Amino acid sequence: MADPRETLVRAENVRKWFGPLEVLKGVSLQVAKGEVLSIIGPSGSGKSTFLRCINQLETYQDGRIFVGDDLIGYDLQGERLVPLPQRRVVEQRRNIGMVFQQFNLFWHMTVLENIIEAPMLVLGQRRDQAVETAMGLLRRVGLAEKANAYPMKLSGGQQQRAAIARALAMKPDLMLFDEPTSALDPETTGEVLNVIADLAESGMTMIVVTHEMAFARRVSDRVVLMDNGKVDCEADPETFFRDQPSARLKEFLATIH
Amino acid sequence: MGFDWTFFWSRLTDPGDLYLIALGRTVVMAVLAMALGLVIGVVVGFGRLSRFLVVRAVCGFYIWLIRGIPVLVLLVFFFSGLAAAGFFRFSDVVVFGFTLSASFQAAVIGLAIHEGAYMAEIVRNGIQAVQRGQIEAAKSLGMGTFQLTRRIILPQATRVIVPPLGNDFNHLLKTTSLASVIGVQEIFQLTESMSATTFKTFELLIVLSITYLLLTTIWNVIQGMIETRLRRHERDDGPSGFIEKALFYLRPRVDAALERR
Repeated sequence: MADPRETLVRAENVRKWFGPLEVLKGVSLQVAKGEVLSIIGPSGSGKSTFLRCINQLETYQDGRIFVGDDLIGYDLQGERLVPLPQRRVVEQRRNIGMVFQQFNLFWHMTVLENIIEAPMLVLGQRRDQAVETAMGLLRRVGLAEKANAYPMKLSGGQQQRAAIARALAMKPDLMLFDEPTSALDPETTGEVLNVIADLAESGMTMIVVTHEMAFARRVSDRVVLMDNGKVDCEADPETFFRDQPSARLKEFLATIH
Repeated sequence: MGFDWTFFWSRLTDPGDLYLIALGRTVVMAVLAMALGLVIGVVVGFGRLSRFLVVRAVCGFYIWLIRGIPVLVLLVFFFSGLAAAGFFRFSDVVVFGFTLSASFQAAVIGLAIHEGAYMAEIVRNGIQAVQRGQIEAAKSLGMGTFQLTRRIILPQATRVIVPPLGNDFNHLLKTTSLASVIGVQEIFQLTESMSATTFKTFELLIVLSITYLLLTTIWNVIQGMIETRLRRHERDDGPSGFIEKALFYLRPRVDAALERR
């Protein structure tokens, strides 16, 4: 892609095994600052695993993932990858927000407490400052009146919007979305997709693993098909969905339509 | 023959200083053993989940060993056994003007070691009940191991741990009666010695049973309050008014049916 923008995420030949099973077989991808990349693919294709490698919820065993200047999870000594100490991994995660399929809001805290927790604990923000940011974010995702509710009292769509606000409160450079609407009713899917689309509009760099083709087409700058632990093809959304530049993609799109 | 109502009522309504002191001893013994047992339980419970095999093995051995020995045997072992072999002899200690007798100390430590083994399993279960997604979310927000243990794992595990711990304490309140065997003057021992002099065994045992019932009832209410507070994320509306509250806290709980032992 002829984009003059600076590259934020650079994955080179990333490989990962779960025991003897090779789940990532050399994934290479780049995401520019401000770009929205959607990853689609059949289940078991490694798309979620790849996403989780970017913030080290999973470790990869070979290749490189750079976010900005940071080599994620490793220190490069010559050509050898030396695992970073846990403390450094924890630091690297601060700038990378993640939204999960199951929301994973801390159920023992109110929505507001969920959002201010990490900024206060990890970034050392003062409470009033964290609350101000949090309320701004809650207004942005349309949940200001739910600030003092516990997650169990919210619908799935509301929980996911709160989870997005929680991730944004850390002011990340990059947002990862791991099938953010797969656990939602069709009625509430829309409200979450709108929030994500808004965020895309605002210039946030995002990688979205999704099964929502219409959404991927509407919001993404680029779409990638992952299959069997590899990138099968990538293109801008128009080309991707109209021309369907690979046989595997044609097959995949045919099965889901 | 027959039931001496007058004696029964006078014991029940005016138990006397001796009985109240013994009651205090029972309660303090239970509370101290519980507190100490909880410390042991948390340490051993986390130890069972340690990364290090040696730590896991030592903690597992402790639980296996203690759960296989009757409390009564443990108490006698700590008080008489250790002394008989010349390893350790408990002696009276004065703390803040109160004399803690040797047998009292042995009872507290024996009960705590016994309780600790059970609590360790409860704590381990509570920690393991924390969903992986909660921990992943905390990690993704940049929390370190210590931060997420303190802010996410412990508070969530506590909510799982408290109901069975409460049942344990209920059990412990009654188990303290075994300390009579090593000479702690708690309510059971006092009742025994009073019945030896008055021969009103039946009446005295009923007063004693009522006393234990009173203790467990008070504890039920306290436990209910704690649990309700810990469950505020599930309820918008707590019970209001004294009667309603009391009924709510005294209601049969599902977990009471699961009480072990």
